[in-house]
Amino acid sequence: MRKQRTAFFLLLPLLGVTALVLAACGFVLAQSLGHVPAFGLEELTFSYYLAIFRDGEFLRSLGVSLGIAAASALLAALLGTAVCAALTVGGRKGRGLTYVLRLPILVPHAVVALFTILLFSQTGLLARATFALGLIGDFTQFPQLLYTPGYQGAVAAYLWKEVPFVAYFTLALMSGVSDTLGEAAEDLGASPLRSFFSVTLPLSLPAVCRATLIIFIFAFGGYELPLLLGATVPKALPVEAYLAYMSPQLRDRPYAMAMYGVILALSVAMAALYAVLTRRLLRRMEGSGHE
Amino acid sequence: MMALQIRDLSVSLGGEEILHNVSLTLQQGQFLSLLGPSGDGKSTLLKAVAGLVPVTGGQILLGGRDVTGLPTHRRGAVIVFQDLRLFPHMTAAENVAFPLKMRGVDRRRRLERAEELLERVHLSGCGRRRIATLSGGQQQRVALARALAAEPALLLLDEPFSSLDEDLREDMRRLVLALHREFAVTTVLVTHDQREALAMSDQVAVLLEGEIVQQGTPEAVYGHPVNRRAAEYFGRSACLAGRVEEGVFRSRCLTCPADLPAGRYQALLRPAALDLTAPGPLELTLAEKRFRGTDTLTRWAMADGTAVELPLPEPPPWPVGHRLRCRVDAAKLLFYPDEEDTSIG
Repeated sequence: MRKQRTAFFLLLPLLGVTALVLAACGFVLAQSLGHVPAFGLEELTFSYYLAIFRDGEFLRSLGVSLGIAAASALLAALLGTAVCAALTVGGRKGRGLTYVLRLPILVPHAVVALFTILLFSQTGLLARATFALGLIGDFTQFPQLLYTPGYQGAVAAYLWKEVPFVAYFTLALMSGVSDTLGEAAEDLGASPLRSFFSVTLPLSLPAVCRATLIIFIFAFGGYELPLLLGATVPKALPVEAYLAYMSPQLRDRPYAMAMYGVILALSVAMAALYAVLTRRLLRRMEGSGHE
Repeated sequence: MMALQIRDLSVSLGGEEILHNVSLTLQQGQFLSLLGPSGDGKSTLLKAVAGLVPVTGGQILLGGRDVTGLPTHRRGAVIVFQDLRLFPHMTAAENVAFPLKMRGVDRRRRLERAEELLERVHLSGCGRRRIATLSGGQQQRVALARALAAEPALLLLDEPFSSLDEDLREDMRRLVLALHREFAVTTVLVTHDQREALAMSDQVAVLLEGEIVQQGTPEAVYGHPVNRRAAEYFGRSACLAGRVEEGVFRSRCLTCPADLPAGRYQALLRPAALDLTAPGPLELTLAEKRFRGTDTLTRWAMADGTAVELPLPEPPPWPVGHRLRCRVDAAKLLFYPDEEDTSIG
C-alpha cells in the first residue's frame, strides 16, 4: 500500500506532463476540426482536413517529410546495423568506441545543421578541398547538396546523428545475442559470418526496427534540419504547418491544426507499431534459454 | 587412440589466471566427468577446448590434431551449454538441423535427419514446435539432439542437468549415457554433483581452483584421493590431526595402527571407516539426526568437538546426546602428511 503511494508520488510529475501533452493534443484536434470559439467557429467539421488533402502544396510537403523520414530511417538502419556489427565483432576493445558513438547523439540538431553547411555547401570545406586538389575547376562544379528540393542535406545531417543512434540502440541486444547464441552457432560449425547472418542479425532485428521507427517519427516531425538545410519550395510538413500557424489570417488556424493533426496521427500510428514490435521482441526472448 | 589431450593449458580471463597448467587425456569413446566446485574453472576449461576463450599457454589436441590455434567452427568440439542456447527464431527441427545446414546438407535431407535425432531423444512429432513452447526437459533434449547432429569429435556437456527436477535429471542421465554408447562419442561432462560424476563416468577428473588435482577411474579417485584437498572435496570426512610414531597414529580422539614413517599427519575419517555396531576406540556423541526418506543422516561429535557425518540406512534408536564407542577400520583411513597445521603436537 505504502509502496504504491510512494510510486504514485514519484510518478506525479510524469503524469502531470502527460496530462498537459494530452490536453495540447486535444486542443490541436479540436481546432483542426473547426472548434475555435475565440474566432466564432463552433461547428465540428472535417472540411479542413478535406481541404488540405486537396491542396497541392500540403501534399508536396507531406511527400517531402515522408521522403526525408523514410530515407533517413532506412539508411540509418542499414549503416547503423553495420557499425553495430563491427563493434560486436570487435568485442571488448570495440566497445570502447561507444563513447565516440555517443557524441553525435548528444549534439543538437541546429549545430549539426551548421556543421553540414560548413562541410557540404558549395563554399564549404569539401568544395574547397576538391578545388584545391584540382578536382573541380570552380566552386559551382561542386554538387549542390544543400537547399535542394530532394533534401539531401537534411538527410545527410540526420544520418550523421542517427547512424550512431541505431548502433548504440542495438548494441546491447546484439552483443548479448552474439555472446550466447552466436557463440553457440559457431560451436555448431557456423563460420563467424554465417553465425552473424543466420543467428545474431535475425535476433537483433527487433531492436533495429524499433530504432528505425524512432528515427522515422523523429525525422518526420523534425523542424530545424529541413528549415535550415532544405529548399524554400517544397517545404517540409512541420515547416509548412508552422508557417500556416503563424499566418496573420486567424481563420486559417484550423488548416494549420489539421496539418498538425496529420503529423500527430502518423506519429501515434508509428508509436503503436513500436509497442507491437516491443511485445513481439519480449515474446521471442521468453523461454529461449538465453538471458 | 587419444580423443582429447590437453597439455599444460593456461587460461586467463580479465587479467586473472583461471586455469593453471591443466593437463588431461581421454581415450576415444570414453566418458569423463570434470568434477569440482562452482567457480573453479570447469566451464572455462570446456570453453577453451571448444575455442570459445583464448588460451595463454599450452596445447589442445583433438584426435591427435593440434587445434589450439583453430577457430571454434573448425574444431568439432561441441558444447551443450548450461543455458542451452537454442535458437528462439527456429523450430525444434530447424535447431537440430542447424549444424547440418552449416555443412551444406540440403534442406530435405537435413530435416529428415533432424526428425530421426529428435526421435532418438524421445521427441518425435515435436519438430515443428517453437522452442518457447517446449518444457525445460524437452528443450534440453533438443539441445542434445542438436549437438549430436554436428557429429562432434568431442561432446562437451556443461552442467546440463542442473536446472532439472531430480526425476527428470535421472532420466536425462540415462538418456545421455545411452546416446554416448550408441553414438560412441567421446564425452566430457562438467558437473559439481559428485554422485553424478562417480556414477556416470569411465574417468573422473577433479578440478580445484584451476588445477586438475587428480584423474582416474571413479573408484580410484573416490577411494584414493591424492591429497587432502581432493579428499575433503568429496566431503563427509572428519579431519584428525596427529602424529605417527613407531607405526602408531595418535590424535586427541583416536589411536590406531598406521604403517607410515614417523611425522605429523592428517587422518581423514570417512563414513566407510566407521562401524557403529562394534565397540572400539573412538568415542562419539550423537549431535543431530535427520530422516531423509532413503536414509537417515546422523552427525556425531568426537571428544574434541570435530564432527563426522554418517548416513545410516535405518533411523537409529538413540536420542540426540547418546554416547557410544565405535570401531574404526584403520585400513580405510586416509593419511596425508601435515605441512600446514603445526599447532597440534
